[in-house]
Amino acid sequence: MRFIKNGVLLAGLIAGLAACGGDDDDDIIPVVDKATNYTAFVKGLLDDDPNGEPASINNRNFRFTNQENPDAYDDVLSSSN
Amino acid sequence: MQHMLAKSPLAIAVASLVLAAPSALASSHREAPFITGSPKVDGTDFYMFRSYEPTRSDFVTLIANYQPLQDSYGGPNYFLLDENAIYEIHIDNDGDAIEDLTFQFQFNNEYKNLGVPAGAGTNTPVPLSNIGQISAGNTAALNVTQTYSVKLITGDRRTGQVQTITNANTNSDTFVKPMDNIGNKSIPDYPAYANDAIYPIAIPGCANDGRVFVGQRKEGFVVNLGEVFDLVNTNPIGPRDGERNIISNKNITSLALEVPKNCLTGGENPVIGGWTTASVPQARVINPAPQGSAVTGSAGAKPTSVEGGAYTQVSRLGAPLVNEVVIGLPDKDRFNASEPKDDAQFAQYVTNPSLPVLLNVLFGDAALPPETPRNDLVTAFLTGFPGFNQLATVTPSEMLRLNTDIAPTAPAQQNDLGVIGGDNAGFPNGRRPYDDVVDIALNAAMGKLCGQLGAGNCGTQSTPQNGSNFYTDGARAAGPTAATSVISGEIDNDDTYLAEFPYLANPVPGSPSDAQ
Repeated sequence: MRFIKNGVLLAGLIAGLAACGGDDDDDIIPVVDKATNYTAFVKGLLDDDPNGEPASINNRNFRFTNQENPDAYDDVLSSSN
Repeated sequence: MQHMLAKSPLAIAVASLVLAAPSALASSHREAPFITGSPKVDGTDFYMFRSYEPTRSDFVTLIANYQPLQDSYGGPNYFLLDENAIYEIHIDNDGDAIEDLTFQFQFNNEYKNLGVPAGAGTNTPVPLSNIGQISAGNTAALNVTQTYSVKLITGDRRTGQVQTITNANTNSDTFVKPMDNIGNKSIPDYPAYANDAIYPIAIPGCANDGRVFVGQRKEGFVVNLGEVFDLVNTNPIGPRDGERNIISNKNITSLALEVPKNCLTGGENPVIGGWTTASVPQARVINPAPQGSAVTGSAGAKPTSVEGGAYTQVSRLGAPLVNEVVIGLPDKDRFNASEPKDDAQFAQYVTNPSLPVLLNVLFGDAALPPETPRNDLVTAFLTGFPGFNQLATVTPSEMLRLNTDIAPTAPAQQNDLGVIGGDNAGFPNGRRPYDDVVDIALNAAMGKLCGQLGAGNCGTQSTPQNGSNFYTDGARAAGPTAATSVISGEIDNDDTYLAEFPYLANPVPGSPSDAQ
């Protein structure tokens, strides 16, 4: 989970640095995506300790990338019975 | 203490005031927006009282009801509890508003996959919960059985010491919840069938055995529900028996425990606080293509959903009506997710309640709102009454409080107005099934307790507001038991309770229809 989040931040940072290389007026200033990938977040929750503290979601912005993807949770579903 | 309070001039004054009057709200049914989507974990009522069954007066009965407004004909799946949830009854016995003991129930569905020969050598699974008659000791025709375990957790409900409660006769840690009351043809003798599921239990650390029962019961709450929520479309100072109990034909699912009272108290103080909660796993992934699944128990089955993560509380209930008519709409879901130790966040709803103002808008001078701040309601809802049902340490928090030193009242002598009716074994000293908590709460809201019985004042008022007016929703039970009923007015003579554990009456059958 932490790996995934760091990965997103790193990708954004690299893209941002690359964009700073020129002075073209058309340069796009990238916005680092701080949103949480909802699918990954839910998969992470499923493995949490039942007797642990529930994860707070009040300060998270979620990014929904799988609303049209019926296979997004196949790995979770296929391992359960 | 009971003796002292009963002789208190203030108690007599209030009791006389109330009883001289001719003889708005559901306790916690669908009371918050979020929980309406999860009826299996919607707590509706919580009872806690010294057992009044003969020979059991040294016990406390705890009953947590779930799944509101069940129609008895709700087949073919009826009303199983949620096997992914945990249902809990918490006890605070030192007054810090944190649970010291938790009784945790967890359920498991067992499917037989019964089928019938439907030709060509096939055995076709049936779509029903039973394919023949069921009786005590003979459940072969039952297609679905729900079993459960009960754990006793000492200390924090998630990190405390967990011990297993077992059947005192068999040492088994698994109990059976009887099937709901499908109807008289499927289960001809439902009381005998259900009684077979009352188990003696060995409770760790407790010298004497208790009892447990989980199953469907007749709804014990009594209310003129439709009119109450229709801007109190009734006369709030009319007769107490002038309106129908509109939920008289509904059922409920009860989790009932009987525990020796000295196993619940802590230290010298005999008062305990209690409440129930339900929690579900935080994450849920719905399977778009369930296969066979646990429903048939077939090989390679894939369930309809995968749930996991930390148990997350979605329902909370202590004293009746709090989240229903005290907590404002923006905070109802938050209340259900909260714990008593954090109740300061809801204080405004108690010190400056909206209900008296609403009733004043609706009924003018017949319902004058008492002055604020409502320190009388702080006593009633958040601290308990000094010297009566207050815990050793006073931490303002919402829970049901019971003084276990006060002897139970036999059914024939019970007064459904509880303490304000002169019966100190009733609400708000705990709560019994017969207690008319709607009428009691209405009168408390309208200022009957201002400065009375050790309660705080209403602003500068130290005497009851609204004179001799007695507020009522007009519906009440017929009596504490069938043998001690006092039938009158519009009251349904079936609205009574049992004289013994689990006290709430046997459920309304799904058929024949004229039995509903």
